[in-house]
Amino acid sequence: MALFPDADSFRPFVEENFTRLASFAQSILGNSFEAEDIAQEALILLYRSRLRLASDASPQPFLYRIAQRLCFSRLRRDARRRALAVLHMPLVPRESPPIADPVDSWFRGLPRRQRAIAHLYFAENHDAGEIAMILGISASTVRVQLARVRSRLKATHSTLPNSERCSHAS
Amino acid sequence: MLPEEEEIRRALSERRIPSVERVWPTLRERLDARAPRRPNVRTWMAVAVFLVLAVTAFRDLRFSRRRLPVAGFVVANVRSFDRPAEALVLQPDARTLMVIVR
Repeated sequence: MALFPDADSFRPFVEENFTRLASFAQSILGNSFEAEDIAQEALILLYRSRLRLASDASPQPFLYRIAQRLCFSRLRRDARRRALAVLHMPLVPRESPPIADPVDSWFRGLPRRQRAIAHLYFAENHDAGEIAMILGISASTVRVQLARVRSRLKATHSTLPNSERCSHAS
Repeated sequence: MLPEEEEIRRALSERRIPSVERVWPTLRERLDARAPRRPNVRTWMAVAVFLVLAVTAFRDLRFSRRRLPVAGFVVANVRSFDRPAEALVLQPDARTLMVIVR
């Protein structure tokens, strides 16, 4: 028996996971524009491979791994495009890009793997063991990466929204 | 928990993500659409090998009959010491003819 026999039976799962998944993708990509697309694509890939999933296994870790893989490949593609764009860069400076969300900027400052771990820790309140199970890595790796995220968070505290508000208020 | 962590958690919870109601119709259509078929690598490799073999066989058959002797030719009705023999005439260069009788 398949986990989701048809598309309509898949809807409750989408309702439960779409927002969290899009937020996860936004943390890794550092912008909200592509996050929704990634979340949809991950859900479609999960639905298409539902027959291969064990009926007693939770599909959520599989879904997050798919989303993480899609995000990483999107980041690689963007890096390639940026490298190619340098060749055609005009000599006149362009208009400055729009100011990004401070949390997105902070996530963009982290290495890719740490972004996924930090999101699952801060947004989903998972502990190291659960994060390790979701991402398919060891718990000790998660703990090490989380320690680095925390130290980075202390170092870059001034870029966060609340501290911005405080500095403006003062 | 560090105060910085609290800020991150709050900022993440305040993120504006589009609702499922808005996304579901598009997603539903995409779920029903057939997955794009990946090209079967093995099949295409087999087709490529078959084509190479077919072209090679065709060229061998087509051009082998027309192939003329370039370096020499065999002469018929040759006798050597009054006995039937075969002679092969070769031209290693423009001024030399070499006849091999056996």
